Amino acid sequence: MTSLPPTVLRPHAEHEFAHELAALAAADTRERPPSWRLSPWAVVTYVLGGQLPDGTVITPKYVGQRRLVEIAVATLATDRALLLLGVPGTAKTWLSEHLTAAISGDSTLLVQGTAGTAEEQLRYGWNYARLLAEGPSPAALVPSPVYRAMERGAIVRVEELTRMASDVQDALVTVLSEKTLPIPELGGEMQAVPGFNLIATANDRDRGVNDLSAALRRRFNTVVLPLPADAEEEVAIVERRVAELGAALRLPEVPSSDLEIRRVVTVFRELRSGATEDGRISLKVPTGSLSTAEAISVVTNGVALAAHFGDGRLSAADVAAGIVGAVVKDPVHDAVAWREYLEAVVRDRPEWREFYEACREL
Amino acid sequence: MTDVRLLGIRHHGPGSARSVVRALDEQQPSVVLVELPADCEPALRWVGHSQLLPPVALLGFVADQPQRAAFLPFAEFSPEWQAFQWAHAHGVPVRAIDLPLAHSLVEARDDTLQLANPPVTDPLAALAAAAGDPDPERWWDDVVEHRGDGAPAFDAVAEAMTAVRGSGDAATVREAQREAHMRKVLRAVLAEGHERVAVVCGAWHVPALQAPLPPAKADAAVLKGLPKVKVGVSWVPWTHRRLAATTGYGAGVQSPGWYRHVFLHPGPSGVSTWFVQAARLLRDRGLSASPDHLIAATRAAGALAALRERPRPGLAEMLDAADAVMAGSTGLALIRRELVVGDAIGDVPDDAPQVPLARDLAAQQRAVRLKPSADVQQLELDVRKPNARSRSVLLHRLSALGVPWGRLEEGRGSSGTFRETWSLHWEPELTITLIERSAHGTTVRAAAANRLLEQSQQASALADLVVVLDRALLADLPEVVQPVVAAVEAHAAHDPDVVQVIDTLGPLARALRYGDVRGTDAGALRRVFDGLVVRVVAGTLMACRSLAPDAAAAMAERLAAVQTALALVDHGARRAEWPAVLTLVAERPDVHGLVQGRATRLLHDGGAWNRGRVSARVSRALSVGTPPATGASFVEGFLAGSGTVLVHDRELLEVIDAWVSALAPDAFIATAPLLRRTFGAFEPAERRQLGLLLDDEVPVAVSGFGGDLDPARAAAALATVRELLGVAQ
Repeated sequence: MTSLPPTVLRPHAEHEFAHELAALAAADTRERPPSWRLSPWAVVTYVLGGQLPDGTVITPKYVGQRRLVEIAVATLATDRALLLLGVPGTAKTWLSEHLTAAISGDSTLLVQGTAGTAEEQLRYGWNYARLLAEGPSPAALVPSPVYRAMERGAIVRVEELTRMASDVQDALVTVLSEKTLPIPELGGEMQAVPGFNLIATANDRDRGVNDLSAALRRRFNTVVLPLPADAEEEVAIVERRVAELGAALRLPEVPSSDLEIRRVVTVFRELRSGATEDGRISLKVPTGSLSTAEAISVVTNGVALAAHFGDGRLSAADVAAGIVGAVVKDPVHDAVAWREYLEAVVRDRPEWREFYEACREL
Repeated sequence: MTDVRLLGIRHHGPGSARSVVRALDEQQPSVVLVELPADCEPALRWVGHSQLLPPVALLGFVADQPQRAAFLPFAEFSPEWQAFQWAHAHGVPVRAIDLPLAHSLVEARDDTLQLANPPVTDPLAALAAAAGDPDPERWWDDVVEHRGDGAPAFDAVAEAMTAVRGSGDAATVREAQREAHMRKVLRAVLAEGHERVAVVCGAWHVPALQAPLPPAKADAAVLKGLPKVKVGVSWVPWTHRRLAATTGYGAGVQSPGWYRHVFLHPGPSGVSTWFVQAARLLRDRGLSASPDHLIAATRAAGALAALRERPRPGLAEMLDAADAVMAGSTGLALIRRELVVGDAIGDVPDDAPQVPLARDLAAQQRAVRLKPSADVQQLELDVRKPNARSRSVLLHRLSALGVPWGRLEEGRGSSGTFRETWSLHWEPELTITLIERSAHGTTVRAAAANRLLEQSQQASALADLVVVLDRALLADLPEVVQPVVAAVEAHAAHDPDVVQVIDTLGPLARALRYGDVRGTDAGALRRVFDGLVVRVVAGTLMACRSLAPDAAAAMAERLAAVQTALALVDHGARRAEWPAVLTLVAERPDVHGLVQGRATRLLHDGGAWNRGRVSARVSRALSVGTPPATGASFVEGFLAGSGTVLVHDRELLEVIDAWVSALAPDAFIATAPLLRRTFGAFEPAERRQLGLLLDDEVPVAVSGFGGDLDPARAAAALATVRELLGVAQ
C-alpha cells in the first residue's frame, strides 16, 4: 500500500478506508486467490458493508443488488476480465475503484479512455532520449498502468473503454487471452503474475461510443449496473448533489424546491422505464440515457436560471427547458415520445398544470 | 418386525426423487404408500402404459360441476412419479393415502383450479432460518435436492421436521383430516400383514405418521361424517410451462427444466452439461456460443457458488454466470424459456377416461341444440336472436380454444355484421384436441379464456393481439378483453412505428362498434382506443415524411383508415386534433405528393376545409413551382380512385384542367402514365360525365351509373334513403 499522502482534495479509496481494509484483512480467515489482499467474501463485505466479529463497522460503498457485486468479485477471482456496463450515474467508476482498492490495495493503476487514447497508454511507451542514446533497452521502456499491473499481479482499471478507438481497444485482446504483452523491440515479452486482472467500465447508452469488437467482448464477463431502484432514493441523490454543486459554483441561495426535483425525477423515471409510476399508462422510451446525473444537471441548470434570471424561486418554467433538452436527443423518435408523454400523462395531472403549459410554450 | 420407512419429500424435488428410488431399492417394500387422494388410486392402473408420459396431471373433478376441480401434476422428477414407476417395475401395489377428493372438493372455492398439494414453504422457512439462510428454497436445494443421499437424508428430514412441528399437531382442520386419513390407511395396510412398507409423503407430514401411531379411535372421530360429493378422476397431458408457477395454476415449480436436468445429471458434471446444452440450444438458433464461453461460464458458476458458500452451483449461480458471460445476448431469454422452464409436453393414453372439458362441451351442445356431425353442415345465424347468439358464442369459443368445429364462411362473418354463416364439421381428431386442451380448463368458457390469455402473453406484434382481442369479443369473454386491451396498450406504446398503431385502430374501432351491437362492456376498450388515438395524432406527421412511392401509397390508405375508424366510433378527435394533423401533413413540403393529396381529400371530405381552401391547395400543388410528377401523384392521392368529387366541384375540375392543359410537352409525356392510372380507375360513367363537363355541356340529369332510369323502382329505394337520412317525405 502506498504511504498516506498529506491532505488532498480527494484521497484514494484505499487511504480513506484504510482502517476498514485493515480490520477486514485481520478478520478474514477464508482462502485468498493469489496476490489478493482479501478473500472474495471479504471484498464483497467491504463493498456492501457489514459488521465484523470484532465490532468494526464496514460502511456500505455501493447500494444495490448483492448478486451483482458477487458476480463481479467471482469474475475477478476466475481471472476473466470484468466489464461494468451502465448509463452515466450508476456508480461504475466508484465500484471499480473500491473493488481494486480491496483486492490489490492500490486503485491508482488507471487508464482513462478517450477518443485520443493511444496504444502506448495500454501497452508501453519509450523514453525517447534514452532510446536514441542507448537503443531499445528495458531501461528506455516506459511501462503503462496495464504493464505495471501485470508485473505486480494487481488489478488495473480502464475507464470508459468504449470511448477509445476500436483498434486501440483491441490491443487488450492479447493481454486478456494470453496474459502476456509481447515486446518485439526487445525480442521478449511481459508475462503477467497471478492476480493480474482488469476492470473496464463502459457506457452502453450514450452516442458516439465505439462498440467492443466480438473478440474483445468474449474475453469479458459483463455486469450491468442498474439505476437507483426507487424514486425516493433518486430524489435524495439529486437533492444532495444539487446542493453540493450549488455551493461549489457559488450560485445564490435558491430555496430548494422539493416539488420541482421530485417532478424532474418522476419524468425521468417514467420515460426511462416506459411506464407511469402507477403502471397504468405505458410510454415510448426516448433514446437518451436520462440518467440520475442528467437529472442533477437539469435541476442545477434550473437553479441557475431561477437565481440569475428568475424570481429566485425554482419554478416549473425553469426546469422545463432543461427537461425537454435532456429528453429530446433524437429529433424524430424522441420528439414523438415527448409529445405523447406530454399529452397523455402530463396534461392529465392537475397539479402539473403550470409545468404542462411551460413545456407547451417551448 | 415390520419395517415402515417414511420418505419425507418435497413435491417435485429432483433430489427427493432420486433419494426415493434409492431408498426403495434398498428396502424392497411389499407395498408403497403415496400421499395422493385415495380416490385417485384406480387411475394408477394406467401407470406403465406406454402412452402415459410425464409431465401429466391427475385431474379430479366434481361429477356434475366440472369447473370445481383439482389438478395433481407429476413430472419425471416428481418423487411420487418415481415411486409409481418403481412400484410398477417391481410388481408392488401402490396405495393412495391422502384424504379423498370426494371430501376435499366439497367446499366451494373461488379459484376453481387449485393445486391439490401446494408446496409447503413455511416449515422450510423455519428450518432455513435455523440454518441461517434467508432463502428457504435455496437452503432445501442445497441440503437435499442437490445431493440425493438415499436413506440418511430422510432420517435427517424427519428429525428436522419433528423439531419444527414441535408437538406434532396439525395446523388446520383440513390438515388434521388429511393426516388422520393417512394414518387410517397406514394402519389398514399394516393390518393386512405387510412387513416392509414405504410411505412417500411431504416432509411436513412425516412426524404425524411416525410410530407409535395414536389410537385409531381418535382418527375415526376426525373423519366421521365428512360431507361428500361424487368425483371423477382422469389423466390429462401437462406441460413444463404449466408446471412453472409463472403461468397461473401450476405446481409452484419455477424451474421444471432445471429440476429435470438436476434429476438426470446429478453430481458436479451437471454444471458443464447444462452449459453445453445451453450452447447447443443457442447454436441451433443461429446464435454464437463458443467453447470459450462454456469454460468461462462453468468457472464463473463455480466461483460464485464458492463465494456464496453453496455446495455446488444452483440455478441462481448458473443464470448469473450465463448473464455475466453472455451479457446482452438475446440468447438469455431463450435459455430461460427452453432450459429453465422447458417445453416438455406429456401424453396420456387414448382410452383414458373422458375429461371434464369434453363433458362440458356435450352439455353446452345440448343447451344450444347443436349436434356434432361428421357431415359438413351449413348454419345461418342472426346473432341478434338469443339462441343464435349462444350458438355463435359457443362456436367462437371453440375456435378460440383451437377446436375448429365450425368455420366462418369467408367474407360474411367479419365483425360488424349481425349475420354469421358457419360451416360445421366434427372430425374425430377434434376429440383428441379437446383432451389436449383440457389442461387449459375444465369448461369450454374457462379453457377458451385461458388459451386466449396465453396467446396474448406470447404475442409479439400488435396485429396478433388485435386478432386475440377480436376473438375474445366474438367469444363473449369479457375476462380476457381487459388484459388483452392492456397488452395492446403496452405494445402500442413500445412500438416505435406509428404505422402498426394505425393498423390496430380499424379493428379496434370495429370491436368497439361490435361490442355495442352485442352488449359487451366496451369501457376499457374505449379508453385504450382514446390512448391510441393520442399516439396516432402525435406520430402521424413523422410517419408521413420522406416516404418511397410504395410506402406513400400504403400511408395514404392508412390516413383514410384512421378517418374511417374515428368516424365509426364518432371520436372527438375527428373534429379537432385529426384535421389539425392532416393540415400539417397536407402543408409540409417533405411529404410525398400522394399522401398530401389524400390528406387534402380527407380534409375536404370531413368538412374541415372549405371549397376555397381545398382548391387553393390543389392549385398550389399543380402550380409551376411544383414538379409535374409531384403534382400528378398529388392528384392521384386526392382523387383516391373516384372522380365524383370533380363532377360536383367545377372549380376543382377547372384547376386540374388548367394544369393538364398548361403542361409542357416533356412534362406531359412524363406525367401521362400517372394521369392515365388515376383517371383510368374511374367508373366509365364518371369519365363520360367529366368529358361532357369539359366540353362545357351541362350533363343531362342522368348522373348515376346507368342510362335508363326506372322512376317506379327508384321511388321504392328513395323511400328507404329518406328513412335512413331522417328526411320527411
